[in-house]
Amino acid sequence: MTIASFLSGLNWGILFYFLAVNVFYLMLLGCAALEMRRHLLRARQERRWRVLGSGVAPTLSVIAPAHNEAATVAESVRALLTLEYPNLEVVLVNDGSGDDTLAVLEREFELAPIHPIYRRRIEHADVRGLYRSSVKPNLVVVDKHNGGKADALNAGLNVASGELVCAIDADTLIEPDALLRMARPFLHGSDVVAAGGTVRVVNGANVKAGRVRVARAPRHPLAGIQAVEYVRAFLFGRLGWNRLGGNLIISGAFGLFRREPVIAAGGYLHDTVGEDMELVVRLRRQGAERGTSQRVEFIPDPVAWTEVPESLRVLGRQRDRWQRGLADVLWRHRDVMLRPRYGALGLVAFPYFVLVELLAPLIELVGLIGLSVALAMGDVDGSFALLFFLVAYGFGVLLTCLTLVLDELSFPRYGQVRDRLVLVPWAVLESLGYRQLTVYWRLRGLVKYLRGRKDWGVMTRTGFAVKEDLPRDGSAV
Amino acid sequence: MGERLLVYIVVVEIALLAISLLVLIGHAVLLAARQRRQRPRLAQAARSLRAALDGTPLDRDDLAALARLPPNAQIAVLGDLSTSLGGGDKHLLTGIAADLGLLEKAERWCSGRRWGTRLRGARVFTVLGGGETVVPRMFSDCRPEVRAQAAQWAGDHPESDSIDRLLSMLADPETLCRFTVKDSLLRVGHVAAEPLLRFLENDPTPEALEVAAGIGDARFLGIALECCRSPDARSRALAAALTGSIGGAQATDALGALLRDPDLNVRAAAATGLGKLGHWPAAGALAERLHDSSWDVRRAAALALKALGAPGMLLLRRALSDRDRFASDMAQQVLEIPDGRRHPRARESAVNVVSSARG
Repeated sequence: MTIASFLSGLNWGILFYFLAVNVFYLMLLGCAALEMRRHLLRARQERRWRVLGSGVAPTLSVIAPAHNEAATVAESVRALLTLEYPNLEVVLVNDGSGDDTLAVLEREFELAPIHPIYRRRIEHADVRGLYRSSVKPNLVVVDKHNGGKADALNAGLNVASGELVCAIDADTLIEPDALLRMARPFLHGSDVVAAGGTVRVVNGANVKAGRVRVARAPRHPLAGIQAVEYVRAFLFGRLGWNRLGGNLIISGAFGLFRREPVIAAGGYLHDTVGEDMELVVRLRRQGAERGTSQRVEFIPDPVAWTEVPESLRVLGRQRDRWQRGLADVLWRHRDVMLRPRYGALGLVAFPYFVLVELLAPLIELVGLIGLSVALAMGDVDGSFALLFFLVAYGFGVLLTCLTLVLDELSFPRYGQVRDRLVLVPWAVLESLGYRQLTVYWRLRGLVKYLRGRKDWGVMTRTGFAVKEDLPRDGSAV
Repeated sequence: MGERLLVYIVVVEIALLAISLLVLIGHAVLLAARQRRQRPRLAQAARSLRAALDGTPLDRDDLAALARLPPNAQIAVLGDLSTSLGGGDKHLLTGIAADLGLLEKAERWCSGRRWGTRLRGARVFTVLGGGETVVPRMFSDCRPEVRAQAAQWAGDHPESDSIDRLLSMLADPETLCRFTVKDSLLRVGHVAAEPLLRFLENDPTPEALEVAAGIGDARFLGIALECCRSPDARSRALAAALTGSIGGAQATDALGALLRDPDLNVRAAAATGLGKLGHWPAAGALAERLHDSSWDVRRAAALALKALGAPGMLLLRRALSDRDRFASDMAQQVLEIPDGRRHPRARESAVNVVSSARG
């Protein structure tokens, strides 16, 4: 085989991959539009407040792990305590903070030490003490040795008493009625084990007392591009998966679970950086193995806000960690791949995550190298390559703009017209530089994973704490 | 050939992009303009409706202003007020909705071909009242969303026919419908007791027992005692909960017997029931359950002892020095005694013993 024929074969292979992935994206977008329509019909003139007074509404506990959050923890907890849900319980897990997190909570909420009723059904690091607020009896604080986020969530799962548990980060800003909205799938089906809501970018918004007062689109280019990425990943990626075999990811920053199945599955794993995705895959997998459906639903209208990195260095570390988490989860559950026993999970969702989410950066790099070499050798015409680039770039921008249209026609969160429109230039700019950087970071993550790195990396905080739990799906090729 | 195809694709992409941007910008601008235009009109409409509720009748101008609002805005402004109203005030709003032609529209929507339209119609009747001739038909709609909405409507219209339909829907295959039916029956409360009793006598399903336990009417005692002897453990547990919500000598005797039931959920429900009734003579039997092999039963028994007041608390305090570590741990937990007070040197370790292997 000559180099020329090898390059030709490679380029045809990449072209086929490109076509297949983009056709799948179109299908996903179509499914997202159908799901959105169904959801809009269900939500129109709905009286959510009725659930507030219902004697048969499932009880709900919010679990918020906190590590060195002294500066923001009081405000965050106050915001959580005012969320609309009947008999809401807030379990804050102080995960071995080295700062004054516990002291702030003791002072602000008059914590009294207790020995509440709980059963240690899943393992976690030792608990140093348990407290209940004297002024807000529905606030329970678990003070434990540091063990990481997954460990803190496991401690919270043991202590929580709700039938449903909402796992969040202590500095996630949840909209007041988001829990009422998010509980709906659990009322619709007893086989729903987890539900995810939309996470949006808070950078640039006016935030007061733990609430987003005025939602504004980010003006900072890096945050703006991520805002577009989030809208695409949640509104088209995850929503579309509801119809194409179910979601594999519920954002660690904002997810609601049925507590019993999570505990029965053993809670969150400690030794992975993709613990949120791992739990969802495990829940679905166990359901399929037992022959019972364990559905994971995404619903678009419950919203939580999170701050995204505005520095390339921090963003790079975040994306690198996501990729390592993804690789780790897919490797752990590799025997699900293409097994009919797992239904849509094994035949559609899992292969997609392997071929597109995991390997896309690698294939993109190989494609770029192959194209460059072919161009240099004169095997590919320059104008053809340019046109191909325009098609690929244009498709990416089109897909993002169609998602922005979907957002606009369903649940637009930005009140001002200019805030909704400012996302368009970010969508156009995304593929010029930013996309290539994410390919580099994801490749770096893959290399680190192959070398066995499992740490979270150091995150720098600005304003709100920088969040890392975000979509891994929905990025256009 | 290949290049030409790519050019076509680029052109199509540009056209689609232009269309999507047009939709995006057009919708955003139109929505903002409509909101700006409607805001003062909605505020004015809400003011005049509030005045009408305070006794100032709507004049022709007020009605005309309301009629000029689009139907969705009319529903929103009337719905905002009606959610917290009942009786005469709600009837007044229903009358205004009828004058505006909203109820007529809702009636049409209820017979729509699309489920979303029918759901919308049922929701309008739920929010604004009315629909007595239309909504009951929707109890047997093919879509669960519509059936559930009809059930929600019935919760605000506790006529005997509606209650009977609600009871028949307790066996609906859809979770959403069962949830809404239970919620509506609980909202109807004691008015539903008699039909529910008749229903239970024929078919004591767990769902019906759950609703009965929520209502807690004394008329259920006979059926509750009967179900306490049911061969089905779930029914016995629910019957225990129901018995615990009624009370009386027969109830406490039955619950005392169920404390020794082979099923742990039944024992736990019986303990909870005795605690709820504050039946202090059962304190000794409850204290025995602190040694139960199930964590759930121990917890229920300890909580029940706490609910009994002084006699229960005395037994709980005694249990603190019980040889059985599981009983003493549970007593300690329920009394909410921090570990440091009891084991000053073993504060950390004690918390982690909580789980204990036994439960």
